[in-house]
Amino acid sequence: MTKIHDMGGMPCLEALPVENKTVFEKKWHKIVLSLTLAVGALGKWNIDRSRYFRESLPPDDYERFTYYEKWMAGLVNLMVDSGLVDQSELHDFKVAHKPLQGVSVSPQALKSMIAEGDPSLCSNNATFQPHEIGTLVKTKSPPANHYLENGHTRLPAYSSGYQGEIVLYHGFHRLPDANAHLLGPKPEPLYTVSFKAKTLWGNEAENPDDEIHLDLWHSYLEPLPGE
Amino acid sequence: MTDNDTHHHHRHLPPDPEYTAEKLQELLIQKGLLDEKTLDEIVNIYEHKIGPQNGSTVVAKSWVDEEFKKLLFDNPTEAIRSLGFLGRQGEHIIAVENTTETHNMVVCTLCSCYPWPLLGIPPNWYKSDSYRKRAVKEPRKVLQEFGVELQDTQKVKVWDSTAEIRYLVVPMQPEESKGLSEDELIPWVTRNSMIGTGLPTEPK
Repeated sequence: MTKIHDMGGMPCLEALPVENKTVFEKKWHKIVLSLTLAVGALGKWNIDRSRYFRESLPPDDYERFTYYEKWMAGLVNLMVDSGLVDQSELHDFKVAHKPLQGVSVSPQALKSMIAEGDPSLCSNNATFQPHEIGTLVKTKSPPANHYLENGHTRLPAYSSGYQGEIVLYHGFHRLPDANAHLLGPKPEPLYTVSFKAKTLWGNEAENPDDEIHLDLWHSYLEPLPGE
Repeated sequence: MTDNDTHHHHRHLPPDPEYTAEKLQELLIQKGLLDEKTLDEIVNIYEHKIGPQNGSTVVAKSWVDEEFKKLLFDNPTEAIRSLGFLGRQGEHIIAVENTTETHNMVVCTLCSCYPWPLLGIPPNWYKSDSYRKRAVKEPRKVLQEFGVELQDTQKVKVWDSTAEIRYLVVPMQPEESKGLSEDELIPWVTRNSMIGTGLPTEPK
């Protein structure tokens, strides 16, 4: 599987694109956004799984697709994977089976889902003793999923194997590495870890004392002995 | 069902995204999976109801209301909830304050996570590969491209949104805006100043 989405710190000479001032640049962008939210609201997958499906697109597609093309391709694969749509239906866009009744999410229900969101915070469990703020840690290397070879993870490659310091603690949160693969939320303590620019980039750092902060789960980190 | 590591590298769709999006919408409505009114409501929410004005309200309030400012940094999620701005992709908020020592800037290198209920749909450049690649390694160069001039005393802190925590940059209030009311201050707080790629500016 590709790790093409994991692009932080990759060499890049491109300037930033000129800003588009409208909320939706094209009409079909509105369609893709609203389809993604409305079908997602049926509850057949979760946000981690939808990220995993977008980043698992064929690498050349991921590279050339615009943002909403990635969303649409990810959504279609999720719908096929979960049985909402048949591959045959995507060839001619004709319904192969009898339409389902009463499944769709109403405007009112969707509105409250947007307002409530889907918090990843869970209650504490005894499996993990959270580290204290100020603990020095090293991120695991390689940045691999513990449950599944080439599975989803949120430890970017550029931060893997480096020393940082825990600066914030956020409580126990769903672990994307498990949740994306429908293995349950497996909540772990979540921290913000601060890295010095010189630690991550060495001599290439613009300013050695600038800091890069990442939100990382307990199992991504190994505590180091204090100074 | 669980995953193996090869099973969904499929290409199911025709190449023209506009055609495909419309046909897909039709198919899903016919299948009974979608209500067209729901789709309209989603677009209406993100075009007209949720946008950077929400974040600007939070920042302007923190500039004039000491008690709110304290709550915003001590318990940001509660502070945002008190104004009714929590929601999808903004369930857990951390506010980071710019000072004469620190300039904060937000990115999501792995996808494009962004505090939707506070700032709306992310702008195209935020979702671009170049911003995702460069913001963590050469933030100062990126800031220069945005026309942000840092003070010599300021360290840059980049926040890479790798979990469901969403970051709101609280910019420094410009001297020339001191004394204005909360409502008058709202238009000073530009969207980019809350991502860290801009500074508050006097409204034209």
